[in-house]
Amino acid sequence: MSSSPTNGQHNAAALPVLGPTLPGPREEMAVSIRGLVNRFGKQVVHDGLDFDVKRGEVMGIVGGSGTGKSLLLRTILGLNKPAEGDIMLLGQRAADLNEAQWQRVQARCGVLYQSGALFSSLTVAENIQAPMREHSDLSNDLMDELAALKIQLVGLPLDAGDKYPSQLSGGMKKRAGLARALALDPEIIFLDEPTAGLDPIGASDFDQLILSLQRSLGITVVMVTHDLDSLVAICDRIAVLLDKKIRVGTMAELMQDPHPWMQEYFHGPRARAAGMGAAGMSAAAGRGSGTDAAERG
Amino acid sequence: MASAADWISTTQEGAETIWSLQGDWTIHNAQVIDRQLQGRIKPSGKVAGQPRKIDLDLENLSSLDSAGAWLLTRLARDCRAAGAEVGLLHIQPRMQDLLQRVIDAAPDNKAPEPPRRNLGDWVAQIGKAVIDVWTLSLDLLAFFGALVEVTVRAIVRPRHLRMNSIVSHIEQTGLNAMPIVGLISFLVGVVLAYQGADQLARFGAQIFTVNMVGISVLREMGILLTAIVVAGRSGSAFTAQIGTMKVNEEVDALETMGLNPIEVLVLPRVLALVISLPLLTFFADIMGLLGGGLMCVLLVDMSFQQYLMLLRQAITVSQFGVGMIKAPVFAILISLIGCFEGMRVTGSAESVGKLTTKSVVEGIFLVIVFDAFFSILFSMLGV
Repeated sequence: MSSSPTNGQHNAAALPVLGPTLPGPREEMAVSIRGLVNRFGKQVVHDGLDFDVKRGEVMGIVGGSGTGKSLLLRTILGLNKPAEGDIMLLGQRAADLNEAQWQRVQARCGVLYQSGALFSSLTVAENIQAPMREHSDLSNDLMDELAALKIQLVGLPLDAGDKYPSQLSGGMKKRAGLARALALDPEIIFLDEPTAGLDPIGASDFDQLILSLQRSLGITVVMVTHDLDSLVAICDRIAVLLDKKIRVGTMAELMQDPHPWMQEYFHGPRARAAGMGAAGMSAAAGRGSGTDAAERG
Repeated sequence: MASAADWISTTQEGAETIWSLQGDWTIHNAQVIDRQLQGRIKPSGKVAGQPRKIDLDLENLSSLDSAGAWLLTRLARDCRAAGAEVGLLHIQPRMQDLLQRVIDAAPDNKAPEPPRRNLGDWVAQIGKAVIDVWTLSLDLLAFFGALVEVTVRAIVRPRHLRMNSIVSHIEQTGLNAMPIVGLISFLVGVVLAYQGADQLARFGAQIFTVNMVGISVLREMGILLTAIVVAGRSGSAFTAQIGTMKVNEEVDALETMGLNPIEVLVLPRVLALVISLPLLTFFADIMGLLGGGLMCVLLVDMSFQQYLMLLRQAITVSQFGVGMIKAPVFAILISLIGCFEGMRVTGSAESVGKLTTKSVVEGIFLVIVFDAFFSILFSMLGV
């Protein structure tokens, strides 16, 4: 287990704002990636990517289409075997573990897939109990109670437990998926576009739900999102996939990045509508977007 | 980590009892903790000693997750139900938010039991099933009507026929099915001849094996096997193809472009199957007769020329015709059911799978029912 600084960390020291990695032992990070390379044939998606997620933070991952956001998530979760790179999840190095050990690490993670990925043949309550059945020795009564609790925690009505996923609306499916992701009280949850397909009110409800659960349960959240409102509302730091690498920073830091894509992303009309202009007003001074945002209120 | 024995211990007894909670109250220990808590609350709902006030001391709790918080909440609720006043002592700040959230969300009681079924529901269920079958039959009839309408229009103005689509479906349902249909009929021919020769030899009528193989393959086996294989192979494919298009809203897109989905999707499939199923049946007949011939040559001690000669005496053109005339009817049944079930797909990918299964079952069922009708009809006509 090496905790010696790597090249990535030297870069981080030189460029404190945009460095993708953090100082400190990697074992203490929720996720720590060094030198990740993913390629399909000749097409390189990730090229020597370094990425750290601190415990207890909310990390947003953004990037244009085809930059490999979902692939990064799949790689962290072990669903995709990278060409090169060292991946540590919850202080465990994926390469060092056998299958059973890796499954134990996976049991400490929760995942909310884009469309919920609820098992269609099971009711919502049974979906929530599915991971409990596999990874714990709880009695049926206790599992019923815990499933009911999770259903309440994510803000679903109690009678939703007996429904099948096909009987739920899109927003309820996401909540049910989140309840399943939380079934084993994970240390980290991964969310793939949690607010995609929700109406703005539902999306903002869902943002607040994630935030309050994260605060009270003390979990680490890693979310891929295209929703600028979510980024502003709940993310502590943001990782931008750009040019096969990753840039990490707070919203204010990233807004100062001169890269054209970053400028367009964080200062475009949608960003201004999401109220980013106000947050980065000082950064954007002289560019006119600040006043624009102020006028829009 | 606390030993399993003391997740909860009594530190002060009497009217004002204090219970101290220790260790990791997490989901991994939840089952053990639950069992220990059950020792404190009697099945009658009473707490041992019937204290007036119970304080739960959380000072020594080393970790708490939502499962643990639930057990804690439930313990407090059960104690209150037993008539005791419950307080929480030394709540650690890092656990406060979680505890509050779980207390707020805690379901008061278990979810309401689903209503029990009685005889009335059972009768109602049968009634509903009957009505469902009736409306389904009406829908299928209406679908057939729409198909006839489109067909008539296509005959009057042949440019409505989509030749590319028809040819491609003939390839998929006919040409590509030849290996499997051929193999199955050949093997069934072999089996028929083998069993027949065995039984007929008992009364020295082994030579009639040829009659048996010829008549059963031409009249029934060739067409029935082909129809069943095609129902499984192409009927299901029709449902899955059209169903997937329904899920992707492609069918809606066609309609808004002013195209009739029945004309574009259903008619070419039906016509293609009406052309390819008789051809496949003919092929299956030949393969079945070849398989029977092989066994006759091997078992009954005749040459292949003799087999062909006997076959010519045994069967007539009408035997062949009886089999072949069913082919277009079965083709219409299979493709109609396949496309109809495909069109009934709504919303999810799940329903594609469900209706595909249904389409195969219904297709095979109808083929056999109509085969029985044909038998009755032919026996009345004396064919």
